[in-house]
Amino acid sequence: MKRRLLLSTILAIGGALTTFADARAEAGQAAAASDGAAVMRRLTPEQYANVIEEVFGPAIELGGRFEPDLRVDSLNEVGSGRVSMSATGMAQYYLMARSIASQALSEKSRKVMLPCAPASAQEPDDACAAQFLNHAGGLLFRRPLTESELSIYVKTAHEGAVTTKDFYTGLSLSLASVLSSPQFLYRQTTVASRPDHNGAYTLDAYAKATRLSFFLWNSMPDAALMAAAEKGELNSDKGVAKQISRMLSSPRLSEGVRAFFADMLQLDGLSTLAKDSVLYPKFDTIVARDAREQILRTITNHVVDNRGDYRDIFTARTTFLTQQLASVYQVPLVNDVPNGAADTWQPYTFAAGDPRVGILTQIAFVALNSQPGRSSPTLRGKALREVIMCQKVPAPPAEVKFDIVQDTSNPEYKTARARLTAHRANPVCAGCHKLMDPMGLGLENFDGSGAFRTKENETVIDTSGELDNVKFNNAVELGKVVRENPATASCVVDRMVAYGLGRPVTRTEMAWVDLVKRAFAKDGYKIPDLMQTIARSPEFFRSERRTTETQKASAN
Amino acid sequence: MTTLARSKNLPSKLGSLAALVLLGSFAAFDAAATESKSFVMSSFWHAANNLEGDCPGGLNPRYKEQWAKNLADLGYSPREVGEIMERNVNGDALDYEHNELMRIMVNRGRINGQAVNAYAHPVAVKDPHLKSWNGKLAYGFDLDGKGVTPSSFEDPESHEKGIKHELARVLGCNEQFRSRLREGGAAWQFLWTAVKESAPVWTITVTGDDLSKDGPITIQFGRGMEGVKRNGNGTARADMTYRADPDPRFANNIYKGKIENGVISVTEFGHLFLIQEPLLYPRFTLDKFHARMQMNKNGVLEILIAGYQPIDEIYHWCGSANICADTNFCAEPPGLYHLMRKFADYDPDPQAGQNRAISATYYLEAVPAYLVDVQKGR
Repeated sequence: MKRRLLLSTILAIGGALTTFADARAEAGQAAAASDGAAVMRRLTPEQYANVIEEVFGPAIELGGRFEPDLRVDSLNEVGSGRVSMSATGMAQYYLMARSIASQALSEKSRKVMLPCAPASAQEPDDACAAQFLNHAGGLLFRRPLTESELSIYVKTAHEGAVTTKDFYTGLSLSLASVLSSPQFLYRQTTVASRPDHNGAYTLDAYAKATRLSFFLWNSMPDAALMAAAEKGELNSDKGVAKQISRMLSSPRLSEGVRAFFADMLQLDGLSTLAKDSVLYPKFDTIVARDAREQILRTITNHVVDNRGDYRDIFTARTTFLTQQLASVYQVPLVNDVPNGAADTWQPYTFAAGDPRVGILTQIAFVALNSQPGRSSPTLRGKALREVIMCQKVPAPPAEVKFDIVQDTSNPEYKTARARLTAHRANPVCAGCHKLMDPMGLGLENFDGSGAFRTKENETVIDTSGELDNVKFNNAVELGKVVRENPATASCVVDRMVAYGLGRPVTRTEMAWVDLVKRAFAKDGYKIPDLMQTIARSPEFFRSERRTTETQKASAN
Repeated sequence: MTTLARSKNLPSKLGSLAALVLLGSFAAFDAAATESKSFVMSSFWHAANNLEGDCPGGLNPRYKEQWAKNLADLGYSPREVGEIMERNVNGDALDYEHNELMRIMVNRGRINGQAVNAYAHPVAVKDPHLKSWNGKLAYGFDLDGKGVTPSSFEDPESHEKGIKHELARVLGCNEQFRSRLREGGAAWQFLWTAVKESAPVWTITVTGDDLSKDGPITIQFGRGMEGVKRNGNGTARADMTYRADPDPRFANNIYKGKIENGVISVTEFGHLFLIQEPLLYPRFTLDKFHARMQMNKNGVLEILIAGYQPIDEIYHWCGSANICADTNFCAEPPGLYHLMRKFADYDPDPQAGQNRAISATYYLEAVPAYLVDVQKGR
């Protein structure tokens, strides 16, 4: 009995691994194509969780861990089209799949999940299994299952039921196989059969639906979008526009915007951010978690709920706080709940004259771009250049000594400005530091944990600086300067296009991106309008020929 | 009207304080008040200053040894004492029903020849004559204003003489209470650890024209609605927001005071009434209330509060724990009660003449906080 069960499990894993290996090769080839080739992206942990919740409900616990994301060209979403998967990672996905399948088909859930009842709970029932797997598989693959796919999964359920003498266990094994397959773990980019007059292909209707839903909602297509794909409505610009309009008016848009900015601002760094607990006792995992949530709430509230100008996130005084965050920001915030109850989020507006203005002064930016035991004007300046303005800062040379910068107790150099000035005496360092330090020094009123200070080592901090020849005196003025810098608005467009495509913009697409930038400015720098402009462009669904060749080769 | 604002520049010794609350209620006490700073208590214990050699007769016995002595005092022969101890001493102290020694210890009080609970009736227990502390340096204040007296101490840090702090004599030769000021003895650590997460915070608010300068101020003690919030490393978290408990019983805990060289002190010696966790001090009162506080380099406000405290209030946490107190934190509670009666130095009973309160000093630590008056809104 045990042996048969083992064989059945191996069959399920083996099936998944075999198809995975094929797809991985396919994905690898697609990633190697650099010029407009559509890529197959691995679901991010958040997307995986969103899809599972959509299909099986919020009560399902994932209970596993994901392989680390890969940041390529500043975005995990681009990296998701390049990542491989280790054997250990695959084992984790399979364990999660088993757990999810078992919860979804537990005695308590099966009545809701299954559209049918088996003739006998102890025997296979291919008809019932097919009914369930066809539906669930279609949702999980974001397209209808092919006949051969359905046949394999029904066979797995059958074998499992025979082996275990339990219909539901057999079905659960098959569902785990679906959940372990590359068709689920990766977002496929199937293209339409005929190229356009330039030789490029466009995505087929289901791939379009998937691209749209993950771009705008960070999750799978809903029933209406799938129906539109099935009816062929997504083959026309009008049909696509209708769906985009519907999706942009959905509250789920906030999820998509959050996912984009979490990626662009590289907030995943907060999940592993550690600070010296002696120097910064307030900074703990709760503050790090809340800081991430704060910046995302601030942004989505501004750009989605209020349809504000994107650039205003650098100058806005409105935000959201928990008591834990309020203690770091040193502002009062009443939590009107009983002792021990969960902290609540509350809207908060920093008073006029308060040094906290815009997202650059939030913990999620200043603490994330600091060292564990000190602030770092260099890291902050680098993040401003690279993350906010999409500019490249060269990596430091290999043999540079950072002794002076790191020694915060040196009586000769009491402030970061003094230490960096001394460090820049080395001409090898000076070139790049000039790009970063003058900007980062504007945020020196915020220590390594993001708390406000006016002095370092009993010396008053000078927060003046300049960005692209525009001078400022403090963080408030820096926010204004960043807001007005053309690179700021330009950068969010570049990032969003790459985010939507899952790859860097190609040379031939630059003209299109310029048009998108002009439209963004014309529309008043509204993020939902930007998303609409991108999603309604034919370029958003286009795949260059090389991908087609790759897919054909793979199919053959 | 309650308003919230940021602090002005503060004196160097208070420089790390950033939390500032302006409570409108203070206007009634100081019309010119322009700024207030609030703090919440993060540590609390007796202000001890125990040094080697300050108990010339040695320390009081640990509880097992004390129990054997108590049995002998009750008339058990040495052989019976040995047998009872042998049979029961390692038993479960809470297993009152099956542990013969526990029953004897609990019921060793005698009133009119009848056995009574020794912890509930400490005077019904024969005085075991515990040893008292003989140090010369004790924290506190000249509570009675009489200056140096034969029994007074010198404060080890302020070096003020004429300090009245008789509770130090009562507790000083018991191992569980012995410690230095900022450490807190084992008993206090046990008690404070037990109550700190659940007890609503005590609050301290300092109000003055300009807290960056020396000058007159008012100091208010009160209570918050929440327990103290902590950092990930277990230390009290600064700059959190607490709701002020509007209980009218705390309304009179406002005292005139002053700032001098960064030291905040009470100059008007009234009465303090506070409520704490029932395990420790359900009521905490000090007459001729004195206080002195100063910010340390870690941004923690170190506070000494002192006054005359009813000995029955002090005995509460010792006696209410019954025999568990013996084993956990307070060997021989009835013996301590006798010592407190012996050294009580205030509030004589009009009939018997027995003093009912004892001079006591406590050490508190507090961190900056925002205190919001929930009744008046923000």
